[in-house]
Amino acid sequence: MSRFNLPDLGEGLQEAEIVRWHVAVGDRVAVDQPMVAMETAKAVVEVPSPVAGVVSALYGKPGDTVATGAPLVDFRLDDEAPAAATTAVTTASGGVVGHMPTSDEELHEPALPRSAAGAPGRRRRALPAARDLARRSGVDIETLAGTGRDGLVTVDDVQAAMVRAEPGAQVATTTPTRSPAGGAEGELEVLRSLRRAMAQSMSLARDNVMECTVCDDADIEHWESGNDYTSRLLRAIAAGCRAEPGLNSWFDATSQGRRLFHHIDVGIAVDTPDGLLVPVIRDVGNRSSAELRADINRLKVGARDRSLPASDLRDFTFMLSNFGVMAGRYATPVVVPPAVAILGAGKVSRDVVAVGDKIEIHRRMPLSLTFDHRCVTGGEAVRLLGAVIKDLELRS
Amino acid sequence: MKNVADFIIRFGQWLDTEGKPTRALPEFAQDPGEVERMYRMMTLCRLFDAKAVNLQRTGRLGTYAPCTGHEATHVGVGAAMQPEDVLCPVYREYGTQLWRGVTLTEILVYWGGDERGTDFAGPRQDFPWCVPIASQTPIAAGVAMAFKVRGEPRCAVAYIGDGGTSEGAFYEAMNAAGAQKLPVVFVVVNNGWAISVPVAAQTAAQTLAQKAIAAGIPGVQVDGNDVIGVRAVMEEALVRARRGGGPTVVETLTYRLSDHTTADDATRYRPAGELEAAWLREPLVRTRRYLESLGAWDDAREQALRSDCAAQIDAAVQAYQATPKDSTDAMFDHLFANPPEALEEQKDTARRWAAPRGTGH
Repeated sequence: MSRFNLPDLGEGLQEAEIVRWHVAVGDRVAVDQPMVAMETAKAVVEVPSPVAGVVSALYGKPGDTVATGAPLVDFRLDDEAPAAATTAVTTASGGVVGHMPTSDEELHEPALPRSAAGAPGRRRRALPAARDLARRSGVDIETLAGTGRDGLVTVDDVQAAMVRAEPGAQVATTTPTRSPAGGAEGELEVLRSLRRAMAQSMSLARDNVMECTVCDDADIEHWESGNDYTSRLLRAIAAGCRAEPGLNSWFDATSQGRRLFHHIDVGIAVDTPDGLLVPVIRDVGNRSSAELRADINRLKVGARDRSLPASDLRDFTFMLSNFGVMAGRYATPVVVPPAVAILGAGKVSRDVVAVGDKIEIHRRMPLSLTFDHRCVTGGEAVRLLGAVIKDLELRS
Repeated sequence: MKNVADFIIRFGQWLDTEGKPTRALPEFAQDPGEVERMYRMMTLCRLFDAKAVNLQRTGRLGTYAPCTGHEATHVGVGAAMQPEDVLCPVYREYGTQLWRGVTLTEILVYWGGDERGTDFAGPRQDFPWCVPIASQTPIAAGVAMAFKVRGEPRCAVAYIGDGGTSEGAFYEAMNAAGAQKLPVVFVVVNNGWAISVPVAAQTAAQTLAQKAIAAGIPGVQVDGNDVIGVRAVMEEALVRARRGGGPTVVETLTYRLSDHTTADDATRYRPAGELEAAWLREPLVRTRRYLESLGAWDDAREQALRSDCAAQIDAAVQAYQATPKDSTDAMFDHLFANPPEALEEQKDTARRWAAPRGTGH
């Protein structure tokens, strides 16, 4: 048997995530044949086979994080009998792969020291100074929630943990981090990829945005057939932003400024098993409903199989959460900075409404608009909401 | 106000993207054997590049800077130089280096993290790869100064990228070379991207060749995917330099068809469609078409070339992998004639750590 351990795919990278396998157990592979797409902090890269042989084991499934140096694939080499697989000699460092001269352990010094726990899973991102301070002060950096950019652990975070660890307080210095594959009840599941990104962006929103939510309903009883919710909502958002351009903007707290945009790029919250993904539909103000629909479908498929390029996932100027597909009428959707507004659309239901002096039953769509009150006034927000409702209540 | 100086920058192309001559070809280009020699080297570079990236992806090579797309520029420059000239490369001009006698194995040893790869057995006088941007250009001017002082009819050739032309060192090198009329050619490989910075964001200058004007030396542009054109322009510049006519800046217009290095992902910053459009201008196809038009090439010869290259590459990979590790002393040696005490201590510490880790492999 020959074992292939995940090499450092960049410069000093500690891990990579499996995006998709191109081979399965039992497949015959040739040298340099693409085997698996791996995503690192910097790139998605194709990893080819180092040997010719038959794949006898794959370590991990798409979405799993593999530590640099950990097993990725086992092969039965062409010149070895199947029975030899069980008797093959492997070295302590991982394996003998063809004529590979060394193991990664020797070739690559980790760029940063491993944590005291030495857990092979995902490492917390931290400034080198914070990592060093944590080690010197006995704080387990893996247990800290970073407050720096993208969840980076800073020196302040470590110092705060040191204060908590003073007599009377307690800091978990030995909390084991376990691989997500564990799965026993109550066991710690370290957040990965999208779910981790969600934790970070929500913390960022909580710490920075002054959120205020206002709710109302749009009466869609008179919609002609063939209208679809998402593209109508996008059109209504465009109408709202034309009425109140201040909500189609970014707020920069550092320079106390805001940037207004002419184009309206709406990020749509998509729920995936891995967590929240926000693909962006560009320039919704200048596109037909058919074009919007085509784009929505493309992004939905891309979000589901995680094939969207980074360019489809950034720089939205407004957000939409169409959460009412299942349940829930109103909510307090969360604005992710630097955007300043998000519209939530709840479950459409048949409501008793007053029409003149008569009682009628109409289909209504509940709406919840959250805005960042640091730079948007209540008046602006309700005027935008009013324009959204007015557009939604058109027949087509 | 009256005009006191006028300048013009010319662009040259000899073979179009279909391999059809766009003007009278120089003598070397009418010799099928000579064109074939260049085409063979370009193909070797292309195939070697793919192998090196795969070696990195499987943990058998460190970071590697690919050359795909630059083959015509690199081979054209190499073919124009004389063996006694001196090359001051950046870090991806394998076509020039291989032409001058650097081996595939040496390239792999270097990118495998072993400086012995820069100790070329072939062109002893050529400089090693130079990662600090533009720092090789004043060195090349210094080399040319030595030739001038000694009265030797030799030239220095320095490579630099489009991004590198924004560095002060490049201007200083051009200025010194112009003032002293030094026998040096600065080859500006304009591949459109300085890692993620496009040329349009790099400079307001219309061409990079025109940067020569301020130094008072000629600057010329050539289609960098046209190996005939690159060689012709380089030969002219080198002949002039060798005769005491001074330096030249040659800007070769090409495109980086790969990522910047194996630690880069260009899909994150390059606009969609640009890469596909660039592949239509790539250098190998037009050279092959031209060879075919001379009746000097066909599918059978192409197949034979590819298997010949594959065998060369495999042999180089095996030689690289069979290269014994250097001792830990190597990183301390050659720094000081009389090493300070602290360094000697570190050397001892490194030896103690190396001993147990070195076993079992």
